[in-house]
Amino acid sequence: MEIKSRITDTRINAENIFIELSYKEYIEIARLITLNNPLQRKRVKSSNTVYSLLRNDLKKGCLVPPIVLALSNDNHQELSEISDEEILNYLSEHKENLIILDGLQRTYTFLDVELELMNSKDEEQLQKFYNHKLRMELYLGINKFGILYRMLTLNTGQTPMSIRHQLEILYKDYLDQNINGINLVSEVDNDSINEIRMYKFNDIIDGFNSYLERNELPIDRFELLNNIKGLEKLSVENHKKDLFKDFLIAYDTFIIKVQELSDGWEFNQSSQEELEVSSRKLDGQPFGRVVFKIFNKSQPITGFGAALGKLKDFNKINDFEEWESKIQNITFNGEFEDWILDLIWHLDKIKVNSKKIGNSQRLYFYWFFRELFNEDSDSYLNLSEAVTNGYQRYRSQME
Amino acid sequence: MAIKDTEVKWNKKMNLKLKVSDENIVNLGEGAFFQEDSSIVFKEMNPIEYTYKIKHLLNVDKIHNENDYMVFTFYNNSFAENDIYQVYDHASSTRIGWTFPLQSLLSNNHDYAHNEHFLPYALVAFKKLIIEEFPNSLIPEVTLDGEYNLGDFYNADETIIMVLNKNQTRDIENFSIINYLPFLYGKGYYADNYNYKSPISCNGKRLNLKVTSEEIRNDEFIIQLFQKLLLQDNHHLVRFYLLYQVIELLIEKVFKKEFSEMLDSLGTDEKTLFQIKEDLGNIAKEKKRINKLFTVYTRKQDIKIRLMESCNEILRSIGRKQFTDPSEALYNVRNLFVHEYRSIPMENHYMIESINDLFEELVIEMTNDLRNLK
Repeated sequence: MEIKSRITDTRINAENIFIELSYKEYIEIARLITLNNPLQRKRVKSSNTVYSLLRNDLKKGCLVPPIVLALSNDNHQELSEISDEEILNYLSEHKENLIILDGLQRTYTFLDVELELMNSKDEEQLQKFYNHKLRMELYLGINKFGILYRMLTLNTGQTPMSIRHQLEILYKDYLDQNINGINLVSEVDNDSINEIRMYKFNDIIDGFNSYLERNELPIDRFELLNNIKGLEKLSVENHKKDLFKDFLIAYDTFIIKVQELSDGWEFNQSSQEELEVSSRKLDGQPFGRVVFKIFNKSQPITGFGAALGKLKDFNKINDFEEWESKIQNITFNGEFEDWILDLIWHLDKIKVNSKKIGNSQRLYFYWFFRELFNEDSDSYLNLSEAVTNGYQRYRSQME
Repeated sequence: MAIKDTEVKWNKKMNLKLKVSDENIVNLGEGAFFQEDSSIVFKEMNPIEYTYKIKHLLNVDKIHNENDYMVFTFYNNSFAENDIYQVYDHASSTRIGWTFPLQSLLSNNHDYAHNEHFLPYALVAFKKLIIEEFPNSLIPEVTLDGEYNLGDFYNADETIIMVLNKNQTRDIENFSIINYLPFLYGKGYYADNYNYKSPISCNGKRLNLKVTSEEIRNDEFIIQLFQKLLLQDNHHLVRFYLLYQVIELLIEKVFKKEFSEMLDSLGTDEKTLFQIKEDLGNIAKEKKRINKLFTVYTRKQDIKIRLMESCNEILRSIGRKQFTDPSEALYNVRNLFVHEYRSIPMENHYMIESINDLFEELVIEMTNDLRNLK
């Protein structure tokens, strides 16, 4: 393994290292990555012809385009000042943290050819194969967001990865971790999340994705990554910050504030009676029985993400820290239960009438948050107004 | 992936397909259901191992043997995800299954996502839609992660599913879903995916299936009418004629019935030749037979009155006589369309559509409301 060139990418504040290495050295790294990272273990069936061509070419030692990798830890070392030798050592020590930004399918082909040659017991051919050279581009980044941006601009492969998939890969080390007192957990039943400040990792990824895309709907997996609009949005973000973390903390702050305002409110028999008195009988169970259980679901989180993104586009807000201070000024009219029963009632009506309940609920939450955080709206920082006006905006969009 | 004893294997290639490229469409290979993963997994060994997975998105609780069930697909693009109903056979008051939009298999947000009675049916539908061949399936593009869901292979915007338990339908004589087509059409469950007239409409939590009356149950025209003909984009005259064909069919049966009764009575009643000729003339008259159909051989009244009012509206608009008898009103409108369509101004053609809507409703009600016509 030999470092051939080093350039600091000032756009994303990362060191780009151009390495020449043997197939054998690369395969060792690749095996570790695919073993340790289930998200990078998936492969796709490509055309049989192209596949066999590539396999044969590799046996002969063709030069594949450089495989692009990144080290995804948040190390604050000043990497541009470290020597080549130290870089290589650092790489050796942190192989498990590598992620493949571009070249996953090629990597699989390498592993397949190795297996094929090992099975054929042709030792000579195998050694020849191992000794062929390839090039690797390694981003040593101190910032996840910068890597995300680079991943998105790079990924023009045949079967593109969705933004969502890339987010999962990039932020996987936040899973099962405590971030400022917030817990992100892996896929569990909604019912198992019984604490405030605990969220499903996938829901937060969805929410962050919604922020980036300015769209609360789950993204079609088959949509290509030619999302020019999305890239443009990303390019204006401050790459020095951990946007994902900021997003999570802002949302959590919102829930904490509302939970505080609720003074322990819970949906109970008297809430049901309150609804029936105003001719609003729920068709099924309420969307949630306590504040945090209403808001820790993917529908409000994605609505929040999309709304904030949109407001940022309209220059109504600059960064998440600004949000956090605004959140402290949230209020409501009358009793706390009034606005939250309105919310529950609207969500129930949506459930009864909608063709895709989840999507419709997301859209409603989107309008709710847009009304709540837009200083030009009548509902600015007022939960009661936001619930009602948000519902009207939702209805007019559905018709 | 370890093979558990809850794995169910089918040794057949699935009919579903994937698009690898514009020129390359592949069949899914042999599949097996893995309970722990709630998925049907396909493995392809050539040239090397690839795995595809179709995930079931609802909880798997009890597993019923899918061979004990029949699954049917209907179509409509106007429904709610929550339009999940238990299906009953109206005649015997027995529950025979469930009906639900495909969308309800793709979401946990509806009221039945954790219902222990619904979930086994949902799983049966999931399996059958993958193992068996159903019309209007889609061919998705290959994904990076090899994971799919049912919504990739069938259009969730317009597919409605019905799952019936064979152990229950066995008790219904000569059960066939075809026998319920006219009724289902009337409720918005269309046999094919074009021209949806009305949304799914079901009151309460049950869909009570009314069977087509025995007298016309096996009639090929009736079946075609509700399976295909009425679904097409028809000119309002064509639609009227198609519906009127049902009246023609039924009044022919009225004739046969009445003629047969007349023959039976000939031996016993003391009638003159003149009287016999007159009676025969009467039962032959179209107008009289329609009247008998409306008053003797079917019962429900409300739709007939509304149809009459609609017929009168168009007759009134061109200065013709009004009627107080529904069968007469219909008969006269029929004659108007056949002989004098040209007298109806274009701006009144919308009235013909209104008549057709009500006429269709009447025909559907008649199909399951015939009595004593055998």
